[in-house]
Amino acid sequence: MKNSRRLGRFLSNRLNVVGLLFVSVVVLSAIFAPVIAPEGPNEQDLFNRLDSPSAEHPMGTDQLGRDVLSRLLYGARISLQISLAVVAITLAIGTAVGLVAGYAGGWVDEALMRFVDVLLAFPGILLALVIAGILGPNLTNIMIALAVVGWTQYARIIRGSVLSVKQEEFVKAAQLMGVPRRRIVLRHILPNVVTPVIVLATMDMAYVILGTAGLSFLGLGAQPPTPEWGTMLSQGRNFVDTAWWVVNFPGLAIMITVLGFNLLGDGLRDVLDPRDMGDVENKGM
Amino acid sequence: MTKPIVEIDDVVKRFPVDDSFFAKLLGNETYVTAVDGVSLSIEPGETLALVGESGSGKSTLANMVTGLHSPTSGTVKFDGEVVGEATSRNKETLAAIGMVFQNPRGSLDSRLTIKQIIAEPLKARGWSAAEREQKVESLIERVNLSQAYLPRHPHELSGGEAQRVAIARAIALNPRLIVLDEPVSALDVSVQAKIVNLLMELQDELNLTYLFIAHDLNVVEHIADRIAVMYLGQLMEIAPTEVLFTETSHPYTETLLSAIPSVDPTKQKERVILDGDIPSPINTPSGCVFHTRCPLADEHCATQTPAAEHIGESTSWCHYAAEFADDEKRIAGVMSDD
Repeated sequence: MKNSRRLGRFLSNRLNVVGLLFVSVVVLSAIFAPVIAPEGPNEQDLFNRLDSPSAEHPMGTDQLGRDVLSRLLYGARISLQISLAVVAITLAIGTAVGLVAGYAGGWVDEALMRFVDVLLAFPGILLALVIAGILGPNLTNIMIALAVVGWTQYARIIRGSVLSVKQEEFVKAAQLMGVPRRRIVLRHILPNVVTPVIVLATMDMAYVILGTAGLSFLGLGAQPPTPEWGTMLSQGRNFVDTAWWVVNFPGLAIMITVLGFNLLGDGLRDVLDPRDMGDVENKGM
Repeated sequence: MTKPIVEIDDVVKRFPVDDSFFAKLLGNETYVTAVDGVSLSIEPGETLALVGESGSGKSTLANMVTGLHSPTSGTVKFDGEVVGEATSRNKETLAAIGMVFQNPRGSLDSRLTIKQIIAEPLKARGWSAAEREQKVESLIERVNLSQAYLPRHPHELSGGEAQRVAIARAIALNPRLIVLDEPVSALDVSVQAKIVNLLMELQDELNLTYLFIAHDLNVVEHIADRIAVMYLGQLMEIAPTEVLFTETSHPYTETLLSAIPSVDPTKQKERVILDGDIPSPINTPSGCVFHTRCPLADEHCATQTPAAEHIGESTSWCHYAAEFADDEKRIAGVMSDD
């Protein structure tokens, strides 16, 4: 469709550009961490513990003399890997459940949606906390916990969109032509319901990064010495009055990443607005 | 006489408005009766037009023929066999009935190309890619569009062009019956005539039977062999087109006829304008459903449901059909004397 026009409109909003910039910085840091990091993430220098920022250590060193900047750069990898994995899993489960519930209708729909309601009745982070607590503290279990909590909103949104697209005449036409159900769902319905979900997924990246950091901060996620931002924050908070850099830089990294994904999501939502797509399609009616 | 291709027998379709658990518990379920005891048949090769206002149940009736709905009671037979919902029909029956929708853009998936859209029914029937290619090319030319349209998307087409694509798709599997649900009402008047002409050409060439739905009579005057007039889910009158236009035997048809704008400005037409709106299909009027708005209605009409009256070639569901038809003949006679 009018992709160039959309790109132009996306870039015309300064906040969108800021979001894109923040996310790009984080992604590039993650990819090139071994190249740009001054030291390895776990290289200790016990003679230079809690050094303030200097030319050698631009963000100082932590309580074990590890370079904070290097740890942050490697930490970007962990945050992005986890959030990508969790969002991919939740997206896949949520979309599948939403498609089945919306298209099948009847008792299938009723059963799946009541189950979603039950999960949604708990505050997300609390449920994640319980699951991570039961499974034991490590990164894989954090991912499972966040995925269990996260897929429900996708299922709901997809189901709602499916219910409306199902009524469209092109779907009825396909049914009357004897197009197999699988193909109707995957070929006709799915492409017409993913747009709102892509926006949500972008925003969700931020939520998962925050969730991972939060659970790690509480000791349920990444364990030391993993250079995870939340873990770094939790370890560094003991020195907050003597060595501010140990805790402030990881905090800043989390903030920039979360803000970046949120701004990017907002921008995508405006540009991919289905009403706008309708305008393009209805032109000349 | 040949065997009818479609037989609709005493079909009723109700849609629940409130069938929640509590409503059921209290015996308060409410229903919209969209189609209320309609029987009719369609002969092979003919065009039967279903005409009525919005909410008269004409589309619902058509949807039961195509299989988008299944009747609450009564039966729909295609080729002598009872058919239910589309999902329960076999591939032969699905292929034998085509459908064209009112809004050409809405019935074409905006994400597919024209080629993919027309090929879809062929694909569903398991045609190979090469066979599909060839068939799609001949189909697009059959509806008078060039092959240059094939790689395009529906939003790049005008309404008339999109409707041609929808027609090409509908005839792809050599159907015997095509249900046309207001196929031209969303189009410009100039385009309407071209689409109607195309449909008539295709009918002759491919030996098609049409069930043509419209909300006004002038669109179907040229294409229909017979016209069935519906009101509030019931049949008011069925008659061959020329009979219906010249000597209708139902007061409701008369009001529809008087609503056709005249192209001759010197000819003054007497318009029959009905009071009020079509009554709610949740609480349909007693007796003859039309009595609340009928200029001829009396107490008898409010209590007794009219039975089918056969007058000449037409069938009318009006207590005073015979008198009304006589009256019509008299008026027509006077006018031709002048």
